[in-house]
Amino acid sequence: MPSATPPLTLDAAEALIYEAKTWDEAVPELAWKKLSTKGFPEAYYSYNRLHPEDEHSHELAVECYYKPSILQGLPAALSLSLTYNHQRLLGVDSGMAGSHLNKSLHLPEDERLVGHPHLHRPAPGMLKDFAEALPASELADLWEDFLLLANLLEAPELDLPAAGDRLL
Amino acid sequence: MNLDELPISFGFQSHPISEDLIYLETTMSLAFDGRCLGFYLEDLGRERYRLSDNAETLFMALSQGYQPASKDHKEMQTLVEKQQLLLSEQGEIYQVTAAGELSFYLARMLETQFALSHYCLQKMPWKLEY
Repeated sequence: MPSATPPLTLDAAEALIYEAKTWDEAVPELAWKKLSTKGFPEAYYSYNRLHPEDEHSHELAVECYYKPSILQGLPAALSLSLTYNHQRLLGVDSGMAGSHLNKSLHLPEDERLVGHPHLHRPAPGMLKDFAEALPASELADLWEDFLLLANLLEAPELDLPAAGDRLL
Repeated sequence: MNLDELPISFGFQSHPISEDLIYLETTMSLAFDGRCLGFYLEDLGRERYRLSDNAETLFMALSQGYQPASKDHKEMQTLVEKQQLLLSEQGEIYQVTAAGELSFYLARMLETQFALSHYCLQKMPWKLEY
C-alpha cells in the first residue's frame, strides 16, 4: 500500500489544475491496460504521467478507467482524472446510473444530487467530493472538456479499449 | 409533513432503465466518495429478483486511487458473505432472491457497500481530511 499523500489545500489543488501542462509527446495515444487482479472489475486502466522528467517532486498524471457493463443494455463506465500522487484533483465520471451526493446544506436542493455525466473539481470544504452536472455528451466531447479544464495541451484523442486485440 | 409521512420521504430514488431493470439509490454515500449507495434490481420473473452493483462499488474505488492487492479479494469476499451476498470474480456484489426476502437483501446490499467502501478507504493513497 502506498504511503498516504499529505492533504492539499484548496489553493494548492487549484494551482496544480490551472498550471499549463503538456502531454508527454513520447506517448502518442492512451495506452490501456486490462486490470488482471482476480476478483476485481474487468476494467481498463490508462496511467499517463505528466512532467515525466522535470524538477517537480510531485507526481501529476492523467488516470483513466473504463469498465464495460456486466449487466446487459447499460453503457460502459468511464472515469477521467487529473491526479496528484493518485489523489483526484479534477475528474469527469460518465455512464453509471447512480447519483453523486454533494453533502452541503448550503447548496440548493437540486444541486445536491447530481447524475452522470458529472464533473469533479475542488470547492471550498470539498476538495474532491464536489460534483456538478455536465450535459449528456459524447465521450470524446467529455474528454475534450476534461483536457480544457485541466489546462492540458497536445493530448491524444480519446481512444477507448473497445477491441480486445488492441489491448496491452 | 407529519411523522407518518416522514419515512416515505426517506425512501429510495428509483431510476427505471428497462422493462425489467431499475436502479434504486439512497442518499447515503460511499465512504471514500459522494457516490450514493444504490444498486440495480432485475426482475427475473416468477417473483424472483437479482440485486447487483454491476461492480461499480469497486470500480469507483479504483477510480479514486485504490490499488488492489491479490489478498484483498479474499478479505472482501468475507465482508460480503457476512451480509449473505456474493462477490463475483469480476468484483460484482450480487444475490438472487424471492420477493419475500427482497427487503432483507436490499438492506444487506447497502450494508455491504458501506463496509466495502470503508475497507477501500483504509487503503487509499490519500488521507480523508483536508
